[in-house]
Amino acid sequence: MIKDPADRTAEAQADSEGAAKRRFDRSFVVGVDIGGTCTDTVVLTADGKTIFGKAFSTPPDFSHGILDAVGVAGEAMGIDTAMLLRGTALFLHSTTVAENAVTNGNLASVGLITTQGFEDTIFMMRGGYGRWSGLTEDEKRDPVSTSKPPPLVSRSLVRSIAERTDRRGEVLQMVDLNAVETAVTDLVTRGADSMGVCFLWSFVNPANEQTVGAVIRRLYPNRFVTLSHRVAPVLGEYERTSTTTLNSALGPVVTHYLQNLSGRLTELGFNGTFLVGQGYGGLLPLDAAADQPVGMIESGPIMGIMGARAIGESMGCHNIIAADMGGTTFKVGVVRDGMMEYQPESMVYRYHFALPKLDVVSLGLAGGSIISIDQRTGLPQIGPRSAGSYPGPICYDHGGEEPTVTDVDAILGYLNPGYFLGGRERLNIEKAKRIFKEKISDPLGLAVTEAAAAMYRLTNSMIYDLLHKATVERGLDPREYALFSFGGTAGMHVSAYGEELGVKQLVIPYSASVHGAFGLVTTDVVHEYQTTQLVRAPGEPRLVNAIFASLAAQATSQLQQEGFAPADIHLQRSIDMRHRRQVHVLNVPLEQDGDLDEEALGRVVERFETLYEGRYGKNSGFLEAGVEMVSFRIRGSGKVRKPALQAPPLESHDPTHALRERRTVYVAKGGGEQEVNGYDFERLRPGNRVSGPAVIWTPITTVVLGPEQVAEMDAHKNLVVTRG
Amino acid sequence: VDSVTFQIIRHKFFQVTAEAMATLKNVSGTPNTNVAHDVMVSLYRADGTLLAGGAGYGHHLPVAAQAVKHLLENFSDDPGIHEGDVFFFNDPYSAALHAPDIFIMTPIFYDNRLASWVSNFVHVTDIGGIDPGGFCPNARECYQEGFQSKGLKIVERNNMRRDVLETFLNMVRDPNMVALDLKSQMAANHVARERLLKLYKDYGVNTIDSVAEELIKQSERQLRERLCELPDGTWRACEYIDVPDNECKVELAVTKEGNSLTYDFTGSSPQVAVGINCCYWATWGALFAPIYPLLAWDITWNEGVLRPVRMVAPQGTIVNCVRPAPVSIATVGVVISVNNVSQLAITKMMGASESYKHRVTAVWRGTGTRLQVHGRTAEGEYYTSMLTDTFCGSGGASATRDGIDVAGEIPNVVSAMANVETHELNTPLLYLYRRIVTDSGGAGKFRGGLSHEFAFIPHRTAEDGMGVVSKGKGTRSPMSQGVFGGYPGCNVHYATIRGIGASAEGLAFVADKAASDTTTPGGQTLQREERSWGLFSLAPGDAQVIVAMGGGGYGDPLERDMSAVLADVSGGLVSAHAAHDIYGVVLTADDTAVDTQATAARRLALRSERIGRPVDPSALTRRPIKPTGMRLSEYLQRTSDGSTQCTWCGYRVAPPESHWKDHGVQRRLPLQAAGTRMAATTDFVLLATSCPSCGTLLDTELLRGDDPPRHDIIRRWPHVYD
Repeated sequence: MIKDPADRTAEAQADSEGAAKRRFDRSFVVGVDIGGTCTDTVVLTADGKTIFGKAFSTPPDFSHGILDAVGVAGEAMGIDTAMLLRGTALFLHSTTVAENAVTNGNLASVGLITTQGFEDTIFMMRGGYGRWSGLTEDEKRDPVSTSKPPPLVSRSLVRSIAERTDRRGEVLQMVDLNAVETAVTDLVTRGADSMGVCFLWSFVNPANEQTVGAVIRRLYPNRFVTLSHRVAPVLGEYERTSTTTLNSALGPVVTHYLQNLSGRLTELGFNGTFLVGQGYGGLLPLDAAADQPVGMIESGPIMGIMGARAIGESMGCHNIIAADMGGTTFKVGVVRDGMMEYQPESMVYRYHFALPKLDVVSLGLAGGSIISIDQRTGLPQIGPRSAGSYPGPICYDHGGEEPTVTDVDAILGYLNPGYFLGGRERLNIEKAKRIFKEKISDPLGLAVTEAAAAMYRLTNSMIYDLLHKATVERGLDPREYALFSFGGTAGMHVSAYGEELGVKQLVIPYSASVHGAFGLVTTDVVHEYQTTQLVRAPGEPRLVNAIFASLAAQATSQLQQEGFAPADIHLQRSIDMRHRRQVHVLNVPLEQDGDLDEEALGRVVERFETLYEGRYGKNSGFLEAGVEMVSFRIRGSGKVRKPALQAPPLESHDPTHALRERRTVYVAKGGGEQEVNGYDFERLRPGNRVSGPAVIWTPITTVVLGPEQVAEMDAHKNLVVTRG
Repeated sequence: VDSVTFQIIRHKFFQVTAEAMATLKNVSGTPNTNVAHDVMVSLYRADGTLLAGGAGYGHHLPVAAQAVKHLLENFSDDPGIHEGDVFFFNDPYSAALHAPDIFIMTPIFYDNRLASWVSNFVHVTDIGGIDPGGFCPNARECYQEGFQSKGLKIVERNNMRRDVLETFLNMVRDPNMVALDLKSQMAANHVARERLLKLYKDYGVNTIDSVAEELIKQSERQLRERLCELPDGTWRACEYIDVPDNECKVELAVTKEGNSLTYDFTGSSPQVAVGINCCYWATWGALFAPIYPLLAWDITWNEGVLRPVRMVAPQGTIVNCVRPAPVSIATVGVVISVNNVSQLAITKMMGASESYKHRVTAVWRGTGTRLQVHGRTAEGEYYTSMLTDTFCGSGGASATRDGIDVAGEIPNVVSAMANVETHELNTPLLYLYRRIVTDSGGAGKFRGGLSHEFAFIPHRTAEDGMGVVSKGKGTRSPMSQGVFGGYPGCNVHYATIRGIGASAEGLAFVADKAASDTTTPGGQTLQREERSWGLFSLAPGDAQVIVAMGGGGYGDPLERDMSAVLADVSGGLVSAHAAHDIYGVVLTADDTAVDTQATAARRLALRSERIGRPVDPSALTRRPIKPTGMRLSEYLQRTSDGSTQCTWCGYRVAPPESHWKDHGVQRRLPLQAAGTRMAATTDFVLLATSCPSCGTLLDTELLRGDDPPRHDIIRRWPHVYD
C-alpha cells in the first residue's frame, strides 16, 4: 500500500528493525522491467546465479504480465510464483508507465496554483525556449517549422494567489487562507483531478507553498498534490512549474499503477522491500517513488544502459553505444569512458522537468512500426505509426492486420516459431505473408521475398541514420565504440547497420533479452537530497557541517528503513559552487568523510578552482568576485548485492553441438535466399565461434550474421561479432 | 575524403562551436549571455571566410568574418599574428555591430602554419560609454560610446597582457563583471582551439580544410539552386523607426535575378543624431540574419550563403553611416529594422512561388524591449544588468498556421528569456507580473503570435533607487508587419508609475490594473510617465511597466476559421470585441458559441464596407480558381494575358502592364482599426487594398502619413514561359 506521506515518519522507526531482519531472511532479488511489448524479469539468487523470465506486457493492467514473467523465472527455478515472491527480499521495478502516459496524453487534469501575475509562466515556456529546446541542431535552424508542445495544463485550470517571497526567503506577502480555499475549491469544481502549486522563490522559503498544500490536504485529502519546493527545489520558476505540473499530471495514473501492483504482490505473499527505478540511475522505495512519478520517466531504458555498463566493465569495454530495438521504440544511450552523461535539460516529449536524468535518446522505429505504401507517391514507408504491443505484428496472431518490420523479419525466415518466447507463443507467418503480399509486394510489383528484402534494407538504413544522429552528430566517432545490441528486434538488423556505422565490434550481451531487468539488479538504491543556501566560501565549518549533518540524517534514516546495514550505506557529499555573480554552478564532490574544518573547506575552494580551470581553461576563474556555495547535496546509496560473475575457461571454437537446423533465410549483400546453419544460443559455449552467413536463435531474438561476419561467445556468454 | 569522414568532420565543426558555446555560457555571469543566448561562436578559415556559423545572432556570422580579414590586412606584419595570440576587436566602423559586442578572436596554428580562426562575441556588461550598459541613448557622436578598438592583442603568445586588460577595465563600469565576460569569451576560444587541434591531429590539416572548402561550395550551390526555383522580380519593404525627434526609415528593394540576390537600400533616411545607425558591415550582417533561417534553413551556414548576395547601401544613410555618427544602439535599432525588411521581402518572394508558398511567414517580434538597469545594491555594490524579457518574442503567422505565442525571433533562432528568479538572484528588483497579452497578435486568416507584458520595482537597492536605460521604439510605428492582408502585431508600450510603494496593496494594484489605469482603489491618482527613450530613474516604490510587440498576421482576418476565433476568445487570447470588430465573428451572449448566421451577415457587411458597395453573399466562400503557376500572393495571380486576378473570386483586378495596387480599392486606415492594442496615432496608417469585386483584403501596407504605396514587380516565374 502507498501511505500518506504524513504517516510515514511515525511508522519508519518501528519498521526499520523489522525491515533489516526481513532483508536477510529472504534470499532473492527480483528485477522486473516493463517494455512496450514484453515484461522482463531477472532473479538473482544468494549464490550469484541469474535466472531470466519474459512474458508479454499486458496493458492496461500490467500486473498480469509482471506475474507471468516472474512465473516463467520461477518455473526455471522449479518453484511457483508465490514461493518465489515469498522468498524475495528486494523487488526492483522499472516501467514505462510514466512516459507512456505523457506520449499518449493519458494525463490527469491538473489544477495549477501560481503566484499572482505569473499565471502564464507554464504557457510562455521562457519565450522561444519552449519552441526550440529538445530539437536537433538542424531543426532549430528552421524556426518556421517549429512549434511549442500542447500545454500540460488547461488555461481554465490555472489560479493565482496574491503572495510573494523574495530571493532571500523573506515573505513580502503571506497567502490569504480564504483566497486559497476559494481557488482550490474552484479548481476542483472545474474538474481538476490533481493539484500543483508553484510559487516564486519557494525553494528558498516554502512557507507559502506549504500553507496552500495544507489547505488542499484538509479540503481534499485524497487529491494528489505536488508542491514545487519538494519535487524540484531548484532556481527557475518555469522549470519548477513545469516539473510540478507534469508530476501532478502523472500522479493519479502512476499511483494507481503502483498501488495495484504492490497489492497483487502482497496478496501473493511478497513481504520484502519494493523499490522503483529512477531516471538518475538509482532506485527509490515505493512511497517516495509514488510521490515523485516524474522521476520514473525513462527509467527502464536507463536501467538497460546501467546493465550494459556493468557488462562492459566485465569485458574491459568502456566506450559503448547501447541500442535497444524492441517492439515499440528504439532507444540509444552512450557510455563514454565508463561514464554516462546527464541530459543537459531533462525532457519528456518536449516538456521540461528539473530532475536529473541520464541521457537516452528515444525514437519511434521498431519491430511494431507499420509498413505502408504512400497513396500519393506510391512509395513504401516505415512508420511513424506503430502496431504497438497489441495487436502488434500480424505474425503474433493477436489480430494485427497491418504489416510491420517484425513481419518482414518473419517472412525473411529469421524468426523461429520454436524459439519465440521459448516456444510458448505461436507465430502465424503464413498470415503475415498473405497480408504483406496484398498490401505491400503486389502494389510494388515485386515478389514477396524480394519486397520483404527491400523493406529490410530500408529499415536498416533508417536505423543507421538514427544511430548516426545519436553519435556522429554529437561528435562521437563510432569507430571508437562497441555497439551493444538489445531488444527483440535488434538482432535481426544489428549486423547490417552496425557494420555500416563502422563500430569496432558488435556485442549481443547474454542478458540482452532482459537488459532492463538485469540493469535493475546491478543498480544500487540511491537517494539524492539537496538544500539551497547561499554561503560565502570557504564558509563557517560549523554552518556547513550542520547543513550536511541534516542531509546525512535524512539519507541514512531512509536507507536504514529500507533495510540496509550501516556497512552497505555510502554517502557522497558535494557542493554546487560558483563565482559570485555567476549564474552557472559547478558541482564539487567532497573527497573526505566526516566533519569539515577550516583547512578542509579551504581545500574545497581550491578544488573548485582546479575543476573550473580544468574545464574552462587557465585564468578563466573569477576569483576577484569571491566564491559562493549555492546548494549542498548528498547522494546516499545502499549497496545491493551483485552477481559474482565467474569466467569459465574457454572451450574450442567448434559450435557444431549447438547446431539446431539448416534453415532457408534471406542473406543480405546479394546472398539472396540461402540455406544456412541455425544455432541455439543457449547451447553455445564460451569460446565457440559461428561464421556467417548463419543465424543464432536466442530466447528473444535472432542474431543474423552476414557472409563475412564471425560471432564468438566470450567467457561471460556474450556474443561478440566482428568481421571475419 | 570518403563520405562518412566528410560527414563526421562536418558535424565535428558544429560540435566544436556548440561545445565552445556551452563553455562561454557556463563561465559568463550575465543572464543575457548564459540564458538569453545573445552570443555567437563561429569558425573561420585562415583567410577569414566563414567556415561554420554556430547558432546565435545571425548578423555576427558575416561581420566577424570581416573582422578577421581586417586583422589579416592590418596586423599581419605589425604587430604580427602568432600562435597563442588572442585579439580583442570591437570597432563598428571597421567591422563590429556596436562597441559592446566584443569579438574575441583566436588564430589557430598547426605545424607553425595559420590554419583557422575561432571568433565569438558577447554583449559585455559595460563598455564605458556615456550611459551604462553599452547602449548610449544620450550619445550624439560615436566618441561618446566608449572604448572602441580596431584590434588589440589581449593575449600574446599564451600570456595575458595585463597592461592591455587593465587599460580596458579601467574605462568601464563594473570592471569585475566585464572581466568575467572576457574570461568567458577566452574560455570558449580555448575549448574550440583544443578541439580543432585534435581534429587536425586525427585527420590532417589539409583534409579538414578541404572539407571546409567543399562545404562552402556545397552551400553556395544549394542556395543558388534554390534561388533558381523562385520567381525573378523586385520586392519592396520599408520600416519606419519612430525614435523621438529622430524619426527615420529603412527602405529596401530586393531584386532576385536567376541565381543571385541584390539588396538595395537606396531611399533609406540620412544618418540620425542618435545611436541607432548602422555602419556598412552591420547592415551587411543584418540582412543575412533572416536569410539563414528563411532561405537556407537546410543548408550549412557558411560563406557559401553569402556569395550569391550583393548589397547597395548609400553612404551617409542610417544603413551605412559615416563618422562621427553614433552607433551604440544599432543592434536594437536599424539592425532589427534591416532584419525585418529582409524578412518581409524574402517572405513575399516565397509567397509568389507555388513551391515555396507554404514557407511564408509574417514578421516575428518586430522590435525588442531591451531595458538595462543599474545602480547600487543595498549593500553598496555596483551592478548593471540587462533584462532578458526583450528576447521573449512573438511568432509571425505563416501560410499554414497561427504565429506561435511568445515564440522568440528570427535573427537569433535560439534566443530565450531567463526566469524571473534568475534576474532577481543577482539584480535588486522584484517582478510584479510577467504574462501573455490579449489581442497583441496581428489579426489575419492566421493570427500573429501574442507577446507578453511585465513590470518591476526596485527591491533592496540603495536609497537612490535604480537607473534605467531605455532605447525603445515601436511605440507608434508597428514593426511586426503582416503579410497578404494580415495586420501588424501590437505596438510596444512603456510606462513608469510613480509611488505605488512596496505594500501588498500596491503590488496587487499594479499586477491587476496599472497597465491601463492610474487610480488606486483608495482614489489616489498615481503619476504616470510614458517614456520610452533615454536614461531615467526609479525611486524605491516606482514601477516600470512594459508591453512587448506582437507578431504579424497572415491573410484576410475575415477568412479566419470561426471556431479558431471562438477558441481564442475562450482562452483569453483574443477579446470578444476584437472577434466582432476585426474578425467579423459574432458570439452568443455568453461568448461560448459562434452565432454563424450573424457572423455571415457581419462578415458580408465588413466586405461591403471595404469597397463601399454591396458584396454578393457568394463572396463569403472562396471559389476554386485554377492556378496559372504565376502566383503573386495568397489572393492574387498573373494570368496568361498579363493581367492580375483575384484568386478568391476570380475577378480581374488589374490590366497588364500596371501595378495591381493602383486598381484595388484602397483605404488608409488608422492603426487602431487593427486592434485596440495598436498605437493611437495618426502619424502612421495602414493602406488596406481590397478586391473591388469580393472585398477580400489583398494587402495591408504600413505607410507614414501621405507616403505613396510601394509596388512589387514580378518578372518571370521558373518553369513558366510565355
